[in-house]
Amino acid sequence: MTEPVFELQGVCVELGAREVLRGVDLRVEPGEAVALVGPSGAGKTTLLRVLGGSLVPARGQARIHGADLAQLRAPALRALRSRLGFVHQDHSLVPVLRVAHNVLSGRLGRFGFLAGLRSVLFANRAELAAVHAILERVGVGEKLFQRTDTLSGGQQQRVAIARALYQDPAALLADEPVAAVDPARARDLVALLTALAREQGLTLVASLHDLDLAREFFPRLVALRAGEVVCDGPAATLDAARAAQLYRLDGLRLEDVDA
Amino acid sequence: MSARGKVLLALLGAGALAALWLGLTPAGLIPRAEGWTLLREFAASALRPALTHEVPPSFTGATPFLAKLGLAVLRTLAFALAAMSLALPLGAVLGLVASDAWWRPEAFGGGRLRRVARPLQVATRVVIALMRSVHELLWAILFLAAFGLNTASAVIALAIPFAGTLAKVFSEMLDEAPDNAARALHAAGAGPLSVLVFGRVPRALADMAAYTFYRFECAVRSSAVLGFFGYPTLGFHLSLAFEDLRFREVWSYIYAIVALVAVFEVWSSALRRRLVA
Repeated sequence: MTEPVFELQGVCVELGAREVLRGVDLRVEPGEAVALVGPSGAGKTTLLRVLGGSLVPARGQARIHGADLAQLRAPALRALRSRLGFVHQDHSLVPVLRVAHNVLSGRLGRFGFLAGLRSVLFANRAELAAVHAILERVGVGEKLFQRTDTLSGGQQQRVAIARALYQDPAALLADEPVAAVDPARARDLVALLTALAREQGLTLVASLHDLDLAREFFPRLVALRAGEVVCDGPAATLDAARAAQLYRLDGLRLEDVDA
Repeated sequence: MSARGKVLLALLGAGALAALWLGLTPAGLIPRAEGWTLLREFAASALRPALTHEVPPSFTGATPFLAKLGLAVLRTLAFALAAMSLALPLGAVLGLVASDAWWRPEAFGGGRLRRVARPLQVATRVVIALMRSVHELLWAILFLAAFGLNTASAVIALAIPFAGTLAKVFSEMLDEAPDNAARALHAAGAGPLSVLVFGRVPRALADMAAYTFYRFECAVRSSAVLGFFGYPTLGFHLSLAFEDLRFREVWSYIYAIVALVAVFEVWSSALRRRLVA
């Protein structure tokens, strides 16, 4: 049996006084595409931060490529994060930089400061060619030298995906990657993300608001509610009745919403 | 009465008390008879600023007035430039150390510097407060006494409070800049300095650049005023002209300062548009 990319056992996370994750077990094999679904405040973002090596759980065990997060020191955690591409809800690009610079900054995790400065500001021909090829693949190749804030929201999210790909990651994590774009573009973006992961054999874990999109593009759905995994399986397991149950508001404490 | 109303009333009351205590009466604002004459002459000169010496020099070979004015403008600029070239790097470094952003987890979480972070930050903030709580003219008096009337004393007198003010405002701008790009770079494994330079600074850069230009403008004005202490900037010539009642020359110097400040204003707003739009 191959080693799983992500393996969580009984992971608990408290932010302030609130228990955001309550004993989460999750195992993701290489090349799998997993959609995280569930209501706002269910803990999807927090779970993704644990998977991304940005948040070390207080209790439980989180292993990424077999390495226990709690055992890793800061430099090792950095090295781990540099191989995990993360696409954020609000694309998190620097608006005043050119597209190329934003994408090039994806590899900063591989370098020390000065080498990183060189790699972004004085990218060589090979690096620029690699960036251009990735931008072509995500459909915004012609924007290479444009200022990032001149692009539309959907195009900027494509640039953010390009930045994550330029990391040459082992896995892609995406936190509500289409929350800020209109439905038609959302569908294109999810299609792009899943196709890219499939082509390059990348493990993909993405949280999605839209259950229909999750069902259509992801073979496996993990449903979270109030910090617990309530359903984990092929898209078909989350039928209409279970989905209604997942998103029902009663029993959900108000402070869990919008977290 | 609302809390805001009470505060407003208290402020007005305090203002009135202060005016009473100082004996501030409207009569004090009306010039004396000879004052009127002076004021009229001064105002009349406004439209006819001097382009040549108002009183012909008593010796031959004196510098033409416009050359003297131009040199004073250049010297005023040079003092401001020299002071800002010291204040800007110092302010940037102090501002960074004083900011919360630099010490946040995505910069130095768990790093070796973590333990000294808080004391270092507080000490830096105290230093910044000391630097900027003393006005540049007071620093100038201090340095004049210590080092005499030389260029270095003026430049350092300007640089100290300006570095302090830049540091305070830079640290606030860095803290208030959107941090999503910084968090994204941190998530991609970038080191603290890279996160700062590529994630955070670009988000604050337009504001920081605009503020630096504004401070440059302030430095030009302060550099002009330092002339009143005898440094060869616009203020020196202005005070001499004023003492000799050469009002047309006074206006020439005032217009020169206004022009300098206006040039900076246009330049800085153009730069800001380029950075933000």
